[in-house]
Amino acid sequence: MGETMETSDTMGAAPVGAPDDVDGAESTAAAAEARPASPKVDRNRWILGGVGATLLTLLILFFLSTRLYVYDRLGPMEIANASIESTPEEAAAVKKEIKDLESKAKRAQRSVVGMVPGSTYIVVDTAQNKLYLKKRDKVLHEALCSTGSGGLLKDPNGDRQWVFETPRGNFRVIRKAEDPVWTKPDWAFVEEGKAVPDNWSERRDYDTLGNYALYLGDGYMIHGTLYQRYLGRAITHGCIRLGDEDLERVYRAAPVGTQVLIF
Amino acid sequence: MKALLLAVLLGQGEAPPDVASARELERVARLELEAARSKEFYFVADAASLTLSLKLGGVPLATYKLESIELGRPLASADEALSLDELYRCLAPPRAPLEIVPGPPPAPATPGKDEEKKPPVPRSGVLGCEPPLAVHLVSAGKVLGFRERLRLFGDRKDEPRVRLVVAEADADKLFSSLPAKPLFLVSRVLQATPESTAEAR
Repeated sequence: MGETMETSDTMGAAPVGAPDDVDGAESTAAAAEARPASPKVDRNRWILGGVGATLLTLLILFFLSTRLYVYDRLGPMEIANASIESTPEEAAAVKKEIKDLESKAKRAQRSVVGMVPGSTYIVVDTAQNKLYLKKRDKVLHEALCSTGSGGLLKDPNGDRQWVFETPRGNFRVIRKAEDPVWTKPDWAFVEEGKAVPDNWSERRDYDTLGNYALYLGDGYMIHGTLYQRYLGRAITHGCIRLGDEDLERVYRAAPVGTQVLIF
Repeated sequence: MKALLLAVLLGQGEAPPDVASARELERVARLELEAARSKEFYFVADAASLTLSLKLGGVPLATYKLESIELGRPLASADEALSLDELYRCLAPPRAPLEIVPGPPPAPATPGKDEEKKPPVPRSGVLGCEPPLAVHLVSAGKVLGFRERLRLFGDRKDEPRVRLVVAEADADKLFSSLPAKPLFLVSRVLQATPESTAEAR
């Protein structure tokens, strides 16, 4: 009865004497029967739990082993000075192989060096906003410039958008002009929040490009600027802007066909 | 032992070390010529001088100082020999542009309101390459955030990695001018000293 009372109290179930009491008595009896076996059950549970935990750990370790990396520091190839035991024939064969390999390497290196333009060429560094006039590996002139801002402009009245990046790669000066006139593209009006004109004469701009322009294709140019204070900054719509004196120097030094490397 | 390990890493079997370095010299020169002819930008990571050179058509454009070059392999296959003797074709992560708000042109420069707005420069980047290789570019001076670490953790698991730790002073320059589809080449050519040259001949 004491057990029954305890069960009832614990469970907060029906009062003692209710029909449910019969079941309660049975379950209490079953619990009493089961009690002697509980250490074994507990041991089994522990074993099962241990096996499960081990499997889970192994699974996690396997997952980690496929995701984790080991890193080795890479250094230069070492030339060992230890002599290698070999017959004179083998030593001669090794020497010949080395000579062949070195000669192939030199030929390839000469070919690479030969690809560097021998005439004047232009290098534009968009990260530092610098332009270099070069010949072979010699810098003839260095200038601050402005390159593309990388900005994104969306047309609020349509689904067009423009990214103002200076294109990178190998270009050539395809045309040159003094007192160039800029035919403003649509984005120039969209950016200023103005309506795009239908009349092409309204697009002509006689001041913005400065005194000279070197055309690189696809509307990109090296030209002057009204905003010299911004030189050295990435603020353009993709063109390369130079100060007046630098522009004149580059214009005079770079004929049509000059290579322009932009990175 | 180290030289032998490197030779194995390069897949050069048991060739005598001086032959191995001559092969390395020839391999790098041959692959660089291939890269220069491709008309694509290419990087040469030089383990001897710890530099990363950006070139186009054989013309050196920029050289970035590295603090280390590390070769990473999945823990599961760490014992397998691995070669880095390919010319890898890579893809850089896309840039995140800053959106321009249309409006009237900016007023003349005013102090404090004349700041340059630059697209954010990342502190790390991964070039995914073919044959499978991930080139991780990490700035030496910046600690990777949790998200970046998580992203690296979740990256493809079966490919080798090369981690280039770029000197802090050069990291922004590198990330700002990272080409979209560069080629990538690792060089371990030791610049031969007069003594070693004499021995090689």
